[in-house]
Amino acid sequence: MNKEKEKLMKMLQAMDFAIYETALFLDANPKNKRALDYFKKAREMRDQIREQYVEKYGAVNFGTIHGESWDWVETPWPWQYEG
Amino acid sequence: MWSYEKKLQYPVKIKNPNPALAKVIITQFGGPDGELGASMRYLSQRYSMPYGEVVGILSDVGTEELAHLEMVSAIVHQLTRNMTIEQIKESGFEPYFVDHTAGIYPVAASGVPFSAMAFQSKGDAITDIMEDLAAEQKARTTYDNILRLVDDPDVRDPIKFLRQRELVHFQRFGEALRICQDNLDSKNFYAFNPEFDKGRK
Repeated sequence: MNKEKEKLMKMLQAMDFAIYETALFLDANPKNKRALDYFKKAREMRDQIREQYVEKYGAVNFGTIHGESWDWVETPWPWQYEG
Repeated sequence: MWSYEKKLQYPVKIKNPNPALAKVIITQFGGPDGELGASMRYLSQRYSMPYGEVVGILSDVGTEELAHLEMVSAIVHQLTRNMTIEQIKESGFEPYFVDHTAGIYPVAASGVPFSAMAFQSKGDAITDIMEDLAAEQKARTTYDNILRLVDDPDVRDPIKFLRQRELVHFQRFGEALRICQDNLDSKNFYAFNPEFDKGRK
């Protein structure tokens, strides 16, 4: 895996993690306004990073498939070791 | 419903295969305190749970556990890729190999296949959340034991991430228990079962 791709994927994983962690906190604390504001901000940042990643390296889910061919089955699967 | 995200929750990049480690780590896929049981436990407990916050926690933690069983499977897969027959024999991997080759199958480290007997969905809010709190601690202990057995930093790193998640989930289930209790009779939490007794939640 090239360094640039790895870096972008790590950023995407980090932002998705921030969103997920905040969502879980909000489940238990749904009236926390600060957490909700952070959730929305993080989601916006995630969408930007995801757009960059998808444009260069392919879809991460069905919602981000835009190409002319079905390369979903050609891009690597996440458990495949890429040195 | 669920839709697939073509990425791991946290990176797994293991340079050196090591089937001996795979043999113990597979337990966090299909063992008594593994991620498969965790996911099925929380996703099953949701349906009769009367409190929205708690259903949210069960749904979202149950979903994250699916991501964790994918990570554990990725670790086992990378530890067992390109094995030679010599390596299989030297590492004591033969019993798994003869049944599953290098495929991923949910078993405990002892070789016992996954069983739904490892978890409960009791249909009683307090009972189920108490089980969930214990389950997170049991998984944490298992990850602690794995960390005692593993030196390879490529393996330790994602295992440490998974261990840390058990602590966060324990915290959230603690809040879930408080939410249940806040909704119950403060003089006797066991006066009725809010998942069964009609009109009482």
